[in-house]
Amino acid sequence: MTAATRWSERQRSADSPPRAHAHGENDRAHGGFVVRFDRPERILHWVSAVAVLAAVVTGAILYVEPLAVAIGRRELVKNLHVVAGFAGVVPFLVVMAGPWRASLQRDVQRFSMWHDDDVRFLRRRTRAGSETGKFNGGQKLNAVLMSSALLVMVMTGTIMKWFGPFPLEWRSGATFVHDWISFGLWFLIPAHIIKALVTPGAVRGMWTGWVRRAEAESRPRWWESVTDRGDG
Amino acid sequence: MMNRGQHRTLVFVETQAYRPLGRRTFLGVVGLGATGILVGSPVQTAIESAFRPLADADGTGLTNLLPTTSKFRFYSVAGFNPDVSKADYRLGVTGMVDTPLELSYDDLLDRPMVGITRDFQCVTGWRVPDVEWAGVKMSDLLDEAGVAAAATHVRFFSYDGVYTTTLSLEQARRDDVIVATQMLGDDVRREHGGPVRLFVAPMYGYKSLKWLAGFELTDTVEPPGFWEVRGYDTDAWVGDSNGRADEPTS
Repeated sequence: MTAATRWSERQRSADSPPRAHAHGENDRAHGGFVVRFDRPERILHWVSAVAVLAAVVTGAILYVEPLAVAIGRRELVKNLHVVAGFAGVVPFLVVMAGPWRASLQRDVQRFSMWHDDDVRFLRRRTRAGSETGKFNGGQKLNAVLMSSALLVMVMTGTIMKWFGPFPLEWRSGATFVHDWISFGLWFLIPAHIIKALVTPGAVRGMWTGWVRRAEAESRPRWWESVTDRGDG
Repeated sequence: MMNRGQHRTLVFVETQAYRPLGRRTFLGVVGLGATGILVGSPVQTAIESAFRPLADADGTGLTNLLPTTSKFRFYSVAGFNPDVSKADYRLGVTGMVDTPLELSYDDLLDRPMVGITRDFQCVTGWRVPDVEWAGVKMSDLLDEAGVAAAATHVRFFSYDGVYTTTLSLEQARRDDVIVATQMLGDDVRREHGGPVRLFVAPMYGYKSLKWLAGFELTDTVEPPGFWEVRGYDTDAWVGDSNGRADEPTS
């Protein structure tokens, strides 16, 4: 059996989810399922997630005095923190630089452009009366805040670590910003994780790449851009 | 399957209903972050004074987790944090002196104690107001050892085996430079450099060496201390060094 026939068989079968591993496969229906995240996006998400969590843990060891005293080895923890911080943003650049960026690029556009309904969603905190796209207002806000915060953390962290070329005032300012953004992330990251855990299919969607067709249909502005729906 | 393989670059047709709010929010956060780097230092000072009453009234220590930073931050440069018991503690006074000294913790307590209360200012920006310190004046220890006429500087060593700093003899003889055994109304805790550390009230924190193992009298400032080698000023007066304009602490 060639790869091509296996592929078409999978498309015909409505009860088996697709293995969304090729890049650029997003927003494509396979029978009763729709590909939400292709493999580059999922690898990006989970690599960044591990890196950011490592940065959170090492950051806590550097910042919270009882932890700092109990664990010591400050130089080591500091270096791990710096590596983890960069590992949190470099994967994004790698995915965006390659030929596998198509799906991510489209999702970045979605995060960037907000429909009136997204704003309405955030105001009312409900989907009622609004036509959700692939991402609702809350998901878009999470993506925007998370990505901008990580970029600022890397900017300020860089000045804190390699302060030599900069005025010392900048290091104080960078420390100040780094502290407050990390304080915000202490709320944003758990909120994101909890929301994902309580939303049926959310973790599976990010892990396997697919969601059920009904989920895609309930997001009208996504559904209209889904290909291979079989109703065309 | 008609539209399979169709190349899509745009996921939606841009209409009046779409606005680049996500992009604006992203740029806004990044812009705020960049502004904070430039002006964050004075803003932080203002926030600290605003939060000070709250932190003072807090018995739980929870406000320490707020990034209002009117608290000590734990810095060390060695791979481990020295753990020296009071029983094992020794302070060595060596170099260009008439009588080298080796003082135990109890020896230090037997000497006249002075108490001073000063703000503690770090060169990275944080400041802790009104910290109470007590210990033996450096000038007393210098007199006790008898400083050779040719000596000009004092070099301090830490139990971590890595950190050093220096003072000129004139600076070390100031009344507000002490070998501290008390800090924050208690024995100097290990994380603050206990059981014995240096406190140089008029200078940035990197002069107040932690886990003080001893000091030697020399006739040269070379080699400079740990941070001084890495670009910090040797004369570390608060508000008048390292390109900073903090309010003097002493």
